[in-house]
Amino acid sequence: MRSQFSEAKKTFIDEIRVDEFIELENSVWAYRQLEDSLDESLKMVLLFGKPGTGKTMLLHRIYNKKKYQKDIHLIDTPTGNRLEFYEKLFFIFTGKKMPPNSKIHFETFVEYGKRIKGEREISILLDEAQMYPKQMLEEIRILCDTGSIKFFISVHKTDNEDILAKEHFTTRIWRTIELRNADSKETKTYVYKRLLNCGLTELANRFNDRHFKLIYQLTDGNLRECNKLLYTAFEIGEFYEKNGVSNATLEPFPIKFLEMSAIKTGMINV
Amino acid sequence: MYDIDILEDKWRQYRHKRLIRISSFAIIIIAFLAVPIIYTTLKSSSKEDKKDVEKVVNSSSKSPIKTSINQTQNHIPSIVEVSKPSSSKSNKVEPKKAEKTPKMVIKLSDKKVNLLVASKDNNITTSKVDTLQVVPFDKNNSTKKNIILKVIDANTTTVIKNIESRFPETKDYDDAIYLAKYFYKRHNYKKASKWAMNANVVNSSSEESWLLYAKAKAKQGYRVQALKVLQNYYDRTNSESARVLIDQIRKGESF
Repeated sequence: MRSQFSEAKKTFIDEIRVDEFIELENSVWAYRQLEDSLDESLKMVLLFGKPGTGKTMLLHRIYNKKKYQKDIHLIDTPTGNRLEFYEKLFFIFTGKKMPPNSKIHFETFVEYGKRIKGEREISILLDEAQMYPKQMLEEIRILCDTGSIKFFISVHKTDNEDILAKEHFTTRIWRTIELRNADSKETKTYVYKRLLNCGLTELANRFNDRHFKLIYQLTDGNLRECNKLLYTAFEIGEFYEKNGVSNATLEPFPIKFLEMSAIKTGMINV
Repeated sequence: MYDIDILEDKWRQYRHKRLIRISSFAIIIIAFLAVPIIYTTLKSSSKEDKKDVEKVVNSSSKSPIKTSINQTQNHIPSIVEVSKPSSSKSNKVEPKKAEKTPKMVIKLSDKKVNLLVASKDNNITTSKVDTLQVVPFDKNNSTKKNIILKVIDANTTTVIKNIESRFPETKDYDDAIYLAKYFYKRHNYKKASKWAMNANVVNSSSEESWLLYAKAKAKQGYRVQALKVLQNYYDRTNSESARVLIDQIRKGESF
């Protein structure tokens, strides 16, 4: 029989799993905002928030939900190479790969955008937009001006990204959606639901308010940090269990494991 | 899996530091709360002390007049010098710069108290002197006087040293017992017992010196010696105070 800790550990691996999306108040609100934006004729929508607040997850979720209903595309890997970016755009516009040894000018995309106006409305979800060079961001802005291409750009909320938003997109951004860190109640919901989704009810019940308070204090409601903390905590629990340490399986879940995990992951500096 | 032992060590360090942090915080909070309480207590006790003070004026003396503090409740006295114009021989005293008509006046009392008195040349003596009491001011008998008050703190080291140094010559019981009380109050029990003994040598019938000597010895940890001394005194005098003190020392009660 597999250990509960091993199962729980897998649950908190930080990866995009759209089917296991945990609906928290803020993320549900952000999802609805994105959904509405798809139906409106907006040029550009800015999704921003601190790292680990669920921006990427949200983009993936909306892409997966709407990909069969809308002309929606996701560019989740940022590139600093213009040619690569053009290849991605070419694929989005034509559904085909660019022929080998071929070249395309940016003006061609602009011309194409203008021609399809009224016939097609392309939505492009651009993750990690802060990693694109300034010139490419300018080109994205020009593409938005064609009126047929809509960009949903996701950026980290830092000083630099704020400058980026102000300098290049201020006039074209029609909607701004901010994703915040979860509050203590949402953190509790997140951890609890994650465990319950995997059928780990017994383990979920070994957590009480003291655990959730500590998790929130350590992670500040950041879901990525939360995943990291709990993954390591369950890994420690698994180790103790395998080595026959009795308190590993006792109720409640040992706070010690959470603290050790925080030390291990650098959330607590000893 | 990473080295769990190292992680456990770090966790223990973290718990230890956390405990220290929490304890320090608790101590600071307690101290923060205690300061106003202590301050209030001290303030109220100092007010009570002030009430006990009576000003003493020796109106008949031609030299600067000595005023001192009532010692009736074993308080260590401050010495107050009052300089009065030679022309005035009245017992009534008005406050310095008294321009308005005073409501109260200080008069000589029948009672005499044991006081430390400082003369003009800073020579300090211990003697029985008249006390004054505050009585309602009588307009008909009032005369304006210029009185200069000078306060000398009898607890200063200089004064104590002065008294200590003159004792071999004066062999004054009041000086010795005063010093014994002074040191006892400051938890200097060794010196307190020495001066209580000196006082006892000068006046062996003084109960105060016996009791103070025994208390100082007991405080130093010489409980058997203290009990022997007290028992000896009790056998001779049947003193109730000695009996009570014997009981307290035997039971280990505080006194």
